[in-house]
Parts: sequence; C-alpha cells; structure tokens
Amino acid sequence: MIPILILGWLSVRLEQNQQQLIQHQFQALVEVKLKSVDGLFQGHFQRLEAVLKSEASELKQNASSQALRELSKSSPYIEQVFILDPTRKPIYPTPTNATAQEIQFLQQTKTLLETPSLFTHSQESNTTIQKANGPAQLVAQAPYSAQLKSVPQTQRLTRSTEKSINAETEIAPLISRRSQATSSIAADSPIASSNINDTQVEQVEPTDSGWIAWYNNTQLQHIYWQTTADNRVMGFAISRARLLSDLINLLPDQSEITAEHPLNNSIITLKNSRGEVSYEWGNAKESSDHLTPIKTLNLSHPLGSWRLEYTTTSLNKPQQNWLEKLLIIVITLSALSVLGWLVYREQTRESRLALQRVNFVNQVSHELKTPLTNVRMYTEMLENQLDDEQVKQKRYLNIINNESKRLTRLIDNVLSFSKLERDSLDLNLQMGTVQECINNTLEAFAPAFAQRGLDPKLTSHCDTNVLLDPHCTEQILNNLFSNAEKYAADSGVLQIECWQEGDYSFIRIHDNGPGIDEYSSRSIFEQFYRASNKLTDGISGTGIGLSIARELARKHGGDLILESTTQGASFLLSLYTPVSLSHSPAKGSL
Amino acid sequence: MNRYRLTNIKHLLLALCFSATLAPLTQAKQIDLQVNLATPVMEAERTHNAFIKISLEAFKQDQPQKRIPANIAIVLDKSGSMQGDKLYHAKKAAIMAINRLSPNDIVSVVSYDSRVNVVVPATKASDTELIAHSIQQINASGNTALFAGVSKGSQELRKFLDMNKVNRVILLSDGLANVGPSTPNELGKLGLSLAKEGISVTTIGLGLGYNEDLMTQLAGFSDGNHAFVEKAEDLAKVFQYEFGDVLSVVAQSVEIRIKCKNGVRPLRVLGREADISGNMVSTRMNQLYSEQEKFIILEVEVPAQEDRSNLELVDVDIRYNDLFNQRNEQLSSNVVAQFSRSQEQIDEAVDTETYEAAAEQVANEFNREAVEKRDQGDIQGAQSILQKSADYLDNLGQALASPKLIEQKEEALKDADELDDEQEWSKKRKELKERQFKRSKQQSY
Repeated sequence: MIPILILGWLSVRLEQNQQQLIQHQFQALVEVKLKSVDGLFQGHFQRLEAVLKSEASELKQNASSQALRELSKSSPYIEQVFILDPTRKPIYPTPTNATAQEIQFLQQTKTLLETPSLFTHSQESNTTIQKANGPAQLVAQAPYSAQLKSVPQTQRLTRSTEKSINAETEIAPLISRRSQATSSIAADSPIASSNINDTQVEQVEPTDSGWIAWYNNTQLQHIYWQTTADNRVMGFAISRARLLSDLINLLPDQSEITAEHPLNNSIITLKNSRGEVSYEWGNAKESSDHLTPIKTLNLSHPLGSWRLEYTTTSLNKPQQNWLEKLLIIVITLSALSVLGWLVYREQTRESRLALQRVNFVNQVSHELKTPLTNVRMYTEMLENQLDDEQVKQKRYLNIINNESKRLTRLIDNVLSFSKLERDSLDLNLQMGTVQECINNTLEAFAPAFAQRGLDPKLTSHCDTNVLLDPHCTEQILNNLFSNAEKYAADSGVLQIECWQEGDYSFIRIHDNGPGIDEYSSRSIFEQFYRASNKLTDGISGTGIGLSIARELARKHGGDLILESTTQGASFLLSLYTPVSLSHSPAKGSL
Repeated sequence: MNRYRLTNIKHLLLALCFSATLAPLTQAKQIDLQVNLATPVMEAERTHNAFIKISLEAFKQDQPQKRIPANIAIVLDKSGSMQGDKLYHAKKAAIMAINRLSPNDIVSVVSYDSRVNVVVPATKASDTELIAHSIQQINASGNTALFAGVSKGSQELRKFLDMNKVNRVILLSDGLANVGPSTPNELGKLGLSLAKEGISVTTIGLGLGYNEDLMTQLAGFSDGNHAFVEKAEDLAKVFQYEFGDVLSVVAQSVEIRIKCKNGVRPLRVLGREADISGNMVSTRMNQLYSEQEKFIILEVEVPAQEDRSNLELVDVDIRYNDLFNQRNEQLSSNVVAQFSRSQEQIDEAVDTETYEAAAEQVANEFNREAVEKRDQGDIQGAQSILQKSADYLDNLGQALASPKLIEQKEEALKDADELDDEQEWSKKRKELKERQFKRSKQQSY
C-alpha cells in the first residue's frame, strides 16, 4: 500500500510540475497570440496611414474647401478633414460657411486644435515626448476633452512593421481575411497598395505626421495629421465606427474557429476604453463575463486604452490531457494491484490449501473421536477378560490398543492445532513428574521405535513432582518422537535427556539421523512447512507437528528450539513447571 | 395652373433642345429629374418660405429580363430571444428570398449572438440548396453583437464589392444590441461609412424588443429600407418586398447638389440628411429603383421681388451611376419663380402635387418632434404638436382640396389619441418610426 501511495504522490507532484510548466508555456503562448492581434491592428493603422497619405498628397495643390468637403464625404474612413495654417490657426473648417456637422466637429475638438504642440514631431524623440505630454495633462483635466499620447513615429513604425511580419506567420487562419481587408483598402486608392511596403521611403519626406488618440465623451477617437511642404497641418478625423468595424473584420469569426483551433475552450475579448466588450471570439461555451481573464494585453498606441482579454474555462486548456493522465494512473495502479494480488495468492495458496485440509480433517477428527474411544474402551475390557494363556489374542489386542492410541494422538494433534489457531486452548495443570510423561510416551512409541530401528536411551533427572499439564507435555513429546520415528529411522540410539533448573524442566531429544540443513532449519517451525529433500519424499505428514509442539511449549511457559549439532537433529524443549501451586503465576499467563 | 403647365412645357422644350444636341448620350438616360415649386407664383414685395421638390424617377426598363446583379449579405440575429417561431420564420424567409436570386448574384449569410459566425461566406447564388442547408443549421442562443454582425456582413460584401452591383446588407434583429457599440449614433456612423462605399443596410425589426432608433439610423444613413414586422409570419412577405426592391435598382451613388441663387437662402431639407453650407445644399441617395419616385423637399427663403418679375431660385445638379450602361451620368435643371400681386393668379398656379408632398414631409417632421417630446415624457406637449400638425394638414387639405392630406390629418389625430397609452407605446413608437422612415425615404413597401 505504501509504495502505491508514494507512487501516487510522486505522480501527483510530477503532474503538478508539468501543469505549472504547461501553464507557463500556455501563458507565453497566449501572450504571443494577443500580441499578434495587436500586430494586426498596427498593420491596419499603417495601411490606413498609407491611404490617408495618398489622399493628402492628391489634395496638397488645390486644397479648396469644396475639395476637402468632398473628401470627407467620399472616403468611408474619414469623418472630417481639417487644415491648420503655419501658425496653427484653423483655416478649414471655419465657423462661417460651415455645415452643421463641421460646426459640431469644431466644438468637440476646440481644445485639441488650440494645442499646436500636438502637431509637431521634432526628430529628437525626447523633446517630442515632453512636448506631447505637457498638453496631454492639460487637456486631461477638462472633462470630455482630449487626452493625448504620442510616441515618436519613426520608432513606432519600425516596431509595428516587425510585428505585422510576425503576425503573418503566426496567425495562419487570419491571413485570408486580412489580405482581403488589405485589398479593400487598397481598392479605394490604387497608390496605397504599392505604398504599404514603402513606408520607409515615405519617411524620407521632410513632412511630419502622427496619430492623435483623444477622448470624446470617454470614447477613443483618432486623428491622423501631417504637415505639408508649406508647413500647414492637414488632419483627418477617423470615423470611429468604421475603424472599429474594420478592426473587427481583421479578427476571426466563429466559423473560422473549429474544435482543433488552438483557441480551445477559450474566448478573446476586445474591450474599449470604457471596458465594454467590442468584440469577442472563441469557442468556449460560457460567456466571457462569468470568467476572469487569465491574460490581459493593453494594445499599443494609438489604441492605448483598449485591451485584449484572454479567458479560458480550464487552466490546463486541453481537457483530454487530464483524462489521458488519469487513465494512465488508473491503469498503472490497477495493473500493480493485480500483480500484487497474484503474487500474494501464489504465496498463500499452499497454506490455504493445507488450512482447508486441516479444517476438513478437524471436522472429521471430531467425528472419529467418539468411535475411537469406544474401540479403545472395549479393547481394554476384552483384554482384561482374557486368560493369561491366551497370549496370542493378548498380543493382537495390545496392537489394536496401541494403534488406537496412535490414532487418538493424531486426532488430538489436529484438534490442538485448530484450538491453537482459535486461541481457545486451555492448560489443564496438575501435579506430576516430567519423567512419567516421558515414560508414558516412550511406552506408546516402543513398538514403533523397535520397528524403525531406533533405540531410545533416557537419562532422567526430573522425577520431582511439579505442576504441569501432562497431556500437553505428552503431546509435544509425541510430535517430537513421531518426527524422529519418521525422519531418523535406523539411526540407532535416540538420546533423551531430562533435567530441571528452578521452575523449569528441560528435555533434549537427540537423534543420529540425517539432521536438518541450515536452510530448512529456519522454517521447520512454520505451519505446513515440510523440509523438501530426498528424505522427506515419500513420507506422509501434515506439516503441522513441529509448529504445534512449539506453540504448545510456549503456551506452557517454555519453548522448543532446534539445537545445532554436528550430527543428527537435537531439539531442546523447555517447560515452565513450578514446584508448587504457590510458585505458579496466574494461570492465564502460562 | 396654366402657368405651371407653361413652365413645364418650357422645360420640356429646353430639354428637347438639349437632347437634340447631345442625342447619342441622352438617349440612354434612365432617370427623369423634376424640380418643382409648390407655389410657382408668389406674392410680390414680400419674403416667402417656399418648398422646392426635387424628384428623381427611374424609367421602366425596356428589357425586363435584364437586371443588375445583386451582392447581398443577410445578417441574422440568432440571440436567445429569437428562439423558436421567430428564428424558424426568419430562416424560412431568408431561404425563400435567396431562391429568387439568379446564379449571377452574390449572397452571403452571417449570424450573430454574442459572437459572429459567417454561415455562408460570399458566394454565387447558384447552389441554393447548400446555402439553405447552412441556414437551417443556425440555432438561437446568447446575446446580441449587432455591430459586429453588420461589420462582418459588410466585409462579406466587400469580397465582391462592385459599383455596378447592388450591394446590400439585410439585417434582421429582434433585440437590443448589447455586445459592442449599441447607440443609434454609432450604428448611424457605421451606416454612413458603408454608404460611402456604396453599401446600403436594410434593417428589419422583428417583434417589440428592438431599438427602432438604432435600426432607422442605420438604414437611414446608408439609404437602405426599414421595416417593422410585429409577427414573425410576416417576415417572408417583407423579405420578398425587400428583394423585389434590391432586384429593381437601376442607378446608384446619386449625388444631389443644389445651388441657391439670387439671394435665396436654404432653410432645411425635409426628411433626408443633407449638408447645408452657405448657399449650397448637398445630399445623396445610394440608389434609385425602377419606376419608383424618390424626392427631397427643400425649404428656402425667397427675398421680396417686384411685381411681374421672374427669379431663378436654384440650380440642381445630379450625378449618378447608371448601372445598365455602367457609366456616370449627369443631369441638371433649375426652377424659376414668378411674382405677382394677383391673389387669383397665385392660387391658380399652386402645384397641388408638389405641395402635397411638401406638406406630407412637414407633417412627418411634426411627427418626429412629437415622438421626441413623448420620449421626454411630455405627452401633452407631444399631443399639442400633433394637433398643430393636424391643423396644418387640415387647412392645407381644404385649400388644396386634397383628400390625401385630410387623410393624413385623421392619422395625426389618431396618433395624438394613442400617445398616452403606456402599454401600447412600445409598439406605437415602432410603427411611428417606421412610418416616418418610409415617408421621408419614399420606401416602396
């Protein structure tokens, strides 16, 4: 479980890191995208400038008020034309002889037209900025009038040219629309199209020009101005509605944003100086006003107070990625757990099978116990009734009796095992000697030992009366002897030593058989473990004997260990056998 | 009356002489220019306010099978409010109308809600089934980005923009523009800019939720048509009328220049936007339709003249693009007033038809003022303006014995009566705005 948790944590960390990285890259990508839109707009202003320049150059010679009026009537981009004389006094339109629209224009731009410094751009950019900033602050104080920003034009132009080149490579789907817009503007004046790439050439002209962005009723308006050779200023007030319409036409519509579009699940909104949405596009289902933008870009001059906002429904924009990653994690986890389960199952299969076997035997044993008791009882009764001369019958009955006892021992073993498993085995302590238990057991095993060529030799120093559970002790010994009988056949002397130290009794059983190799010795006490080698093959056994013996010994306050010897196997059994009841601690702890 | 006819005949003779010298050119002229005075004979030794009607009418086409190719962008509002019946009928009407086009025509379809979708980019109207299929896919939802919708629609027109085609955006909306520019002024400015490129915008307001000022300004400045359609079922009919109009255009980019002479001062132009600068008046119409009369009414101040003298009041100069012959044409005319002390002579000379047209426009101006007053909440003021209008129409109607003006008087009285019905006002205002628009632009439907 812990490795899986660690693995999970690690993957979450990895995912987080990756997401941060993606978000970073994403932010950068979004910025590039928004900047490219800004570039598109700059491109539009350049084209507009080219159109206006050509209009201006056509007008220069015969700038009659009739022709000027004609121009503002025929050009879809221009709302009003104005001319300032070399002393920067308005000479067209003048309040006398003006149309209603012209009079309105003069009222709106009164402060603007009375600020001659707005219409100069000296070649030193520093002074220009200062000059331009002065009046900007001045007019900004007056409500509904102009706030002005000026950037040295040469500098701005070169920058925006770069941008529009970038934009062309970055926004592939926009190009078709864009070139359309170019041609539509170019259609109005054939000179313009050839001029677009020649802005640098036009720059060489001694005339000065620039954009003024000003506010009328908090709405951004634009004026393009340029000085003529005779130092007059020719200005064009741009139709605000038309400018916005043209900018919108540079931006994609919904049919151009398909599911594969990089603008997945997001919206870009163009907001004007009042913060109102002028246009939005994108394929997110939600409306942009429910979401906070993750990226905002203020547009460059002359759209200074406008901004683009990028909004998206989910930060890790491609949603499939999440699913994919989740799926991978789930698959890995489930594969791991299946693998673990398989390994675990393989490991426990054997013991589970044995357990099942024991459970079965346990139940069967219970059933066997009653008839076996009867068999033994009647055998003994029959034995007692026999005469002394019926030796043959007596021998047969003796064998029956012994085998019945052996069977009883086996059954007891199985029952003890399941009792130990359930932890419901209670000791039945009574006074007795350890020697007696040994003798009883040896007696029972005598025929078997004789048959298997084993010669038990008991050296006993434990004939003191102590408190013990004889049945339990005998059962331990049964198991040990039964092992010796099974695995150390024909090995001659079976040494049995017995002594007592304080409250403990010790019994050592040492055979001269093949012994137990080091590897197996580690696990012989485990349940259902049977040392597998030539020796054990062909010998039946349940594999629970030693495990039960040790459990019983521990229950009896002692232990059963395998001693290392040079030859054969030597088991040392210790038992807690207090001399009297007063010495014995609480019964439960035994 | 006799005098009037005489001057008319004089003009005709003049025109004949003129045409005789320039026979090959004038032969192809499609447009008839008429300049009439409501009161050709005026009282001497007194200044007068006089109405001059400058009317243009395209002749019936000699070859009816031939017509000018159209370049149409249908811009459909598909905001949430269009859901259901409205959008169903709108789609049906658009498809039906497109089926009337011939393969030489260009059509595009743009739909908009909060965002804009170019449903059918500008294409030849040959595969109408495919176009109809695309239109059927439109579903309603979202807000109303009207400005952007019109922008994209006009952008589609620009792909095939041609001064020898009829370039028109047909906008259908049922709601207030709430994404992007939304004031009548801003949309009017856009319309003005589009008109300069030769694009007209026809606006169809559906139901009672749209902004009639915005829609009439947009149509007015771009010289398109405007219609108020209360029930969606009537959309098909309006689309048919509109397409009928579009398909009957014969001349475009009509520039009208009026020069007031001999101390005559221009006061105002009724019904249409015009620039008045000194003694010069100029205005424009985007197009003239076959067999439809379009006119402007100019009110001038005429200085006092001696008895039995003649005075040339104005010179009228018209330039237009003749679509059939694909060239720019020019027409000019003038009008001369007579002065007399004889009341009989004055009364006799009155040009009833011209006077009626002028009175209609004057009443229309009154109607406009009344709506403005009503907007300010001054119902009584509005009613008194309409009463004034009714009195004016009544007097003139009696004097000219004109049933048309008497009818209009009744209309004004009815309008005055219905002004204070708060519940019906939204609908009434749309009706009034539509009627004012149609009167001032002489819309055919």
